[in-house]
Amino acid sequence: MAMANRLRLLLQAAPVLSPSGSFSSSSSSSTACYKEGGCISDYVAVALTALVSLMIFGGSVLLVLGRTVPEIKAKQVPLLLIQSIGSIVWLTSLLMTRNMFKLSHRNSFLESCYLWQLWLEGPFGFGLLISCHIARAFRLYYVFVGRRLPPIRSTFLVPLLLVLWILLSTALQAVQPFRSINECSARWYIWVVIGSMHLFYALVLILCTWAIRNIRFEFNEFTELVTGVSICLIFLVLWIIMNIVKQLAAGGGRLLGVVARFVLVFLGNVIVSCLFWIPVTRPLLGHMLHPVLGAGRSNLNYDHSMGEALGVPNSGLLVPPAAHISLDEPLESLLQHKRFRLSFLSFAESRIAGETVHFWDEVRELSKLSLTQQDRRVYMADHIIQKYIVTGSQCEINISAQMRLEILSTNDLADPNLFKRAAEEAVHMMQTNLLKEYWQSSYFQELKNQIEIDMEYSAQLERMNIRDIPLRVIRNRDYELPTDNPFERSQASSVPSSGPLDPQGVNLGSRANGNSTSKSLDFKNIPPWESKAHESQSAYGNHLSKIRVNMDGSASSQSRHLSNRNRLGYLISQRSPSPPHCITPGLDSSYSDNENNNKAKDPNIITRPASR
Amino acid sequence: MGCIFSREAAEQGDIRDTIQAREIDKRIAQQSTAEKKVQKLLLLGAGESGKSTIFKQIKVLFQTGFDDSEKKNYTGVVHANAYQSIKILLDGLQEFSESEQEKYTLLPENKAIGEKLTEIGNRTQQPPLTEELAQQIEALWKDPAIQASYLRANELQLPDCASHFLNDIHRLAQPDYVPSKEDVLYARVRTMGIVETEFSPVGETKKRGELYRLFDVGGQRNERRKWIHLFDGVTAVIFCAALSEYDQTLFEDESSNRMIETKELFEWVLKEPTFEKTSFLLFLNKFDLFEQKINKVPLNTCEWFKDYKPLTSGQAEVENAYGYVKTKFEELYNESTPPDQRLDRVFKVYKTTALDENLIKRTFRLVDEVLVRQRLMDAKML
Repeated sequence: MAMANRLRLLLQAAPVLSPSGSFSSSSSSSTACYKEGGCISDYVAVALTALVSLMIFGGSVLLVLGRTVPEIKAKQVPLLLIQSIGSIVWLTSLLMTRNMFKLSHRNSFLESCYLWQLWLEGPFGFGLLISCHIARAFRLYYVFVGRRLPPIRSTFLVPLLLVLWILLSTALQAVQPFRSINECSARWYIWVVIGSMHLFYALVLILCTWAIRNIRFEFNEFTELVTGVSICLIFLVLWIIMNIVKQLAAGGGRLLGVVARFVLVFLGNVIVSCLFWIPVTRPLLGHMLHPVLGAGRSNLNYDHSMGEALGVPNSGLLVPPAAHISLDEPLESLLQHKRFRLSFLSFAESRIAGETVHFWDEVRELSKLSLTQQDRRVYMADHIIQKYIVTGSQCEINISAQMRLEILSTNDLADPNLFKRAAEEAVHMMQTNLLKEYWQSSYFQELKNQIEIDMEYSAQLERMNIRDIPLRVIRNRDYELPTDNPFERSQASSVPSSGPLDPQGVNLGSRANGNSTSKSLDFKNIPPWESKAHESQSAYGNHLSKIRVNMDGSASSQSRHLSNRNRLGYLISQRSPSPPHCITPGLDSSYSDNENNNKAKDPNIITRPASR
Repeated sequence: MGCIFSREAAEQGDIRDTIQAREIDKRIAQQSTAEKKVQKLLLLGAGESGKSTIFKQIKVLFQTGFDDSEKKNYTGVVHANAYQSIKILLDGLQEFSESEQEKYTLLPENKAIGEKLTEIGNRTQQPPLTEELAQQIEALWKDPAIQASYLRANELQLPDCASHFLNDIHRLAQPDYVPSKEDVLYARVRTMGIVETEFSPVGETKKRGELYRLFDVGGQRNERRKWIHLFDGVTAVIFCAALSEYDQTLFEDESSNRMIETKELFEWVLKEPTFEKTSFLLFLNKFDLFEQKINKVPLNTCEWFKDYKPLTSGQAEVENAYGYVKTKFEELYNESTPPDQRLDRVFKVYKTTALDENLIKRTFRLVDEVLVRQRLMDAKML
């Protein structure tokens, strides 16, 4: 709408341009150009503004699309969106207040100087822009210096900050300082007042930025704020200089006037572009380029979690499990094993109870961050709170009001025991709700099969004294190791399906034996399908490490190791952990449909697609 | 042509015919069983309204029930409930003693036990319930301060099974304790996610009835977001509302009244577009607790029931109050259902106590009748 208006005005203003083209020749044409707009520089300014606005709009769309990526989320996307609105409004107002356009309808409200100069350039343009930064600094201060959650949400803080400017504008509106409604000229002190308002907000921003100077930010928020502040200051200084020059040269400097306003608009575009693009360029580029670059690797890095972004050790990597998983350990220690955790997680998600497992997992990752890395702990804690604890959050877990309040009103976000009780409650809920049925589920069956196949293959390798086979060969289930012994071959290929589990839970350990001290599966009283793995069980861990080292002929770095594993279609059929989507209303996938598909295999249960 | 067919051939022809006939019969039988659609039932309701107890009752009544090993699995839960209950009462003491010091202070001999049990209640892995611990818990339970705290249990988040377990704590502490069927039904586990089962209510004539698929859900606010997965093709919604919760606050938000929450939830569920033709069976649950409470705590403490005037007292009052609550829910149903829809879908109210096996069996028989009738009506209309 604004664009169309502008274009219309441009076309109307075009005939004003004198045939000579330049505005330095006759004073009359340059006067016309100065008074009514239409100089070449004005066209350029408008084009520039349009371009910058479009780019900002495009950037905002990209931000919205990528808002779940941790690096982008740390920039606070809602604030960035408000900022972009403010930027576009401000740029437009810069154009409108400088007499760049021939104003056709003298008293039109839309082209009134009051609207543009007092309101849209002030509170809702520059003010909005700066307030977003102030709000961001405010939140960073509270979270990282104060280690508490801010009392107001940032998006609510912005209107509060603007109150002052709105009051000033109201006061000015009452005073009616402009000579005519369409000519943006007034006494010099009015300009001083307006200018000092701009300066005041910039100073507040400087203050807030100074307050957080000592924090080392993972996602570079501080550097960006400083850059933003310095750019703002430079702009303001230049603006003041320009205005002074314009006033001083008021008499004959038409040219100066035209140049001045062009420079102003140009600077405005520069500052807006910098303020918008400096924070978001890197994360956006990373986010957008990953599908292209990461075609070889799987989706792991594209949808990574906050834990990975903060560099939690082993986060997201599918390292080989500890060789020994004793299945009668308490749930909490079972969950420490990655493969069990993944399998259990898949089961929980099939029961639409996945958020508790994810919560527990992320608290575990938080606990891996060392106590000295306070800033990262604060990031992670804040992320967990926003995702799992806040009422109405994406993956809200089922805890009491008291527990929630305790966490939200904490005085120290880096406290190692912040989520302790909630995590314990999560384990308790998993135990009482999910565990028993997990043992009887197909997910557990699959886990057991996977573990035992793994052990079998490594056992075969051991028997054949093979050390150098690349991991791919071993992991590829279709590959049959050549054996001379037909009995062994048949043993290898036939994975017996395990019968129904002991409904009392898994007593695969030798609980009956009473004296199993080893942490490993005690093979004295195990069911028959476990006995084959007996010999190789102890050597399993050693083998895996040997195989890993020999894979590339050199000690593989973690990332390469990772990409190889991903490419090889990993053992567990479930993929690497993607960030939980949790429950959003209006999900298409119907739980009943999934269950119908699963149940369809059971001939005793007749289902029809639900149609009523 | 007759001499070509030997007798053997004729016999073979007969056999072939018989086989064919048998095939056809089998196919017809398969078809008619395929005609029976599995009916989808949802158990919805706010937190702690009795949904999971009904779910357990279904298992007891129409499935295999709880065998000994399954009952043993509940030992941990029962003990945890006992520890939790006494801990909540102790925490309540802390809160209440801020205003009235003497009334809510433990007897001196019980102070140490109080601290110990608060600490135990906070752990995830709780110690097994020994005789010694049971004695200590009993001592605390009998302490006048705890009893006073128990009188104000509606201000705490005390589970309803508290008195049942705490009164009987010695039995629970026996080394060979196996939870009784009653204990299993009383045991409180906050449901997370979605659980399902299938059952067939065996009719009077012992002929296997309809096949029902029953879904149990969590009732807290964050769990309700998951309900959306279940809303397609539902035959009937069994909405559980606890009658006795009119003076209690939510587990997940201590500033909201439970009855008001149930009211809003019921309204929301009724207005759900996928439930246009779904039958609604309202189970006004926890009638036993309602009976005990109604004479002590007036009904009009709840905002929704504020225009209720108690007429008498005793049993007549209970019936009176129940009638009032039922009317309120019926009004709510009528407000939330457009008039033309009221003919389409069935709405029935049942007074239940989920712990009472016979009552639930009778109720389900009625439910079954209603649903069968509805299904036939739908079929006729088709």
